[in-house]
Amino acid sequence: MNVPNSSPPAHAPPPDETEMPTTDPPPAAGPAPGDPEGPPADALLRRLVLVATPAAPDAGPLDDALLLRWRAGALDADAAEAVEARLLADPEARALLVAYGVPPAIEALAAAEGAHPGGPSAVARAASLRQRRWRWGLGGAAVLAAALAAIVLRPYALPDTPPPFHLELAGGVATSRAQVDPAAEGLRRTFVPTSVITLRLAPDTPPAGAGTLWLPSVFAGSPEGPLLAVPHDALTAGDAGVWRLRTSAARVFQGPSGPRVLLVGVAATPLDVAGLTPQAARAAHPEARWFDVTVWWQADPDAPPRSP
Amino acid sequence: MPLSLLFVLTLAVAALAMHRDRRMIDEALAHSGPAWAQLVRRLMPVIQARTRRWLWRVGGGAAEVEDLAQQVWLRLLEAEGRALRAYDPERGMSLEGYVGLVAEREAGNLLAMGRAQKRGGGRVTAEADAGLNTGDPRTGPEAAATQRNTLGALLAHLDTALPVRGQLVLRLLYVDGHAPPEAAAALGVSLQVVHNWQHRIRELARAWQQTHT
Repeated sequence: MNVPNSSPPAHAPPPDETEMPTTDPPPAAGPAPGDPEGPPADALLRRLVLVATPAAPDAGPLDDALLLRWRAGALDADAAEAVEARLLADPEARALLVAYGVPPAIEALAAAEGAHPGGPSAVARAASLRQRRWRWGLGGAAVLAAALAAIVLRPYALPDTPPPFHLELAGGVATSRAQVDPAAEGLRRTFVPTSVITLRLAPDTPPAGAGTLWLPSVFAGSPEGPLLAVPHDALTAGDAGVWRLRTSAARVFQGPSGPRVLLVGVAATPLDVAGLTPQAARAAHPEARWFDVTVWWQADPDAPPRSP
Repeated sequence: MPLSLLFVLTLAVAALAMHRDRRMIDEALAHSGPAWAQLVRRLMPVIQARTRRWLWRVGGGAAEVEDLAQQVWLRLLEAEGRALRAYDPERGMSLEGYVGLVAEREAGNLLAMGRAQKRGGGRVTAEADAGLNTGDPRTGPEAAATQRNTLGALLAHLDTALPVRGQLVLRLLYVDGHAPPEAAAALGVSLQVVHNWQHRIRELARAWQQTHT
């Protein structure tokens, strides 16, 4: 079966590179830059169109099968020579050759294969090619427009969402010194007024280049609120988007002993959720990425162990 | 003796193939799925190529090719495939050749009908020869004749100097005015091959130009 294609057929003989001199300098692919006419020889050659000859009236039709087999390199030498002679002499034959160089429209091929003769579906499916193309075109355009609109409107519709970060907490006092059992409370650490709180906030993936600067805002308070803002001067920016908070627990926690929440919100702008509960703070800024850690605040280091 | 035997053998193989085509048409039109798919794969490219060539003549667009090819395909299937069934392998033409001719005829008819409906007249006018601008005194009849002689001599020289493939590339690029990618696709070769030929043709033309000016 001969299905013409624009790519060289696999079983075709190697193209005529063998006929070509291999010592040629690299050929120019078109007119020289800045010279619309190209090389002078090219300008002369282009005028050859004036001596194009029409096909001989008695040439007879060129058999498509022969042409296709010639393209596929499947003709013997004599037959190939006859086809070539015809191609050289007949511009219509060359036009047909060029037309075969264009790959067949796959859509029409598929529609025709699916449309069996005899039934109304054959005509319907075949005749609806244009309408279907329109539908596909309109559908594609709608999808493209929606995608473009989403890209353009995204900054206005939704503020930037920070990338994933992770939070590490350090500091606090040893369990034995505070005489409490944090594990029994489900808490990780106990802080006394002289403890130093160290938080490290780092993006999961270091930023690739200059982009949005993500700012952490740190709050502390009891789990039921209200939250108090931790002074910004306790925060320092490190490399690769890392932030560190280092300050004394006495600056962060206040009031009697009890559980305390350290709430960190990461956003493009500083957040102000002081006075809210942790849940309300999260709800107020859904665009921010929130982290929290609950610790035990022991206002009096010499106090008896906290009750479980 | 062996040559005549080979000739007879070739004829027999060709006849067998043509009768196979005839059977394929019958089976396809009798609702055989595989035969139908085979028929489509063989003939649709022929129909598309023929309609494409026809549309190029009259300045049609790429989108029209698909529509026109589809209409031609329907014409072939009309009346239970009467046009297809009319294919007679005994006449010595291949199925592709036969369908190509039918396709071209139908494409011409359909285009003429369509344009007649649009314009109120079915005549397609040929464009004037852009290369012979008789309004320009530099391209009067004598100058044009001289130019034709010169160009004819150049063409003859290039035909003598180039092998058949080179002559074909020369015609595709410079006589028919196709772009190198089109010529490469038509010949089923890489673009580089066409560029190689183009380079050689230019060199030959340059050398000829130097000796004739």
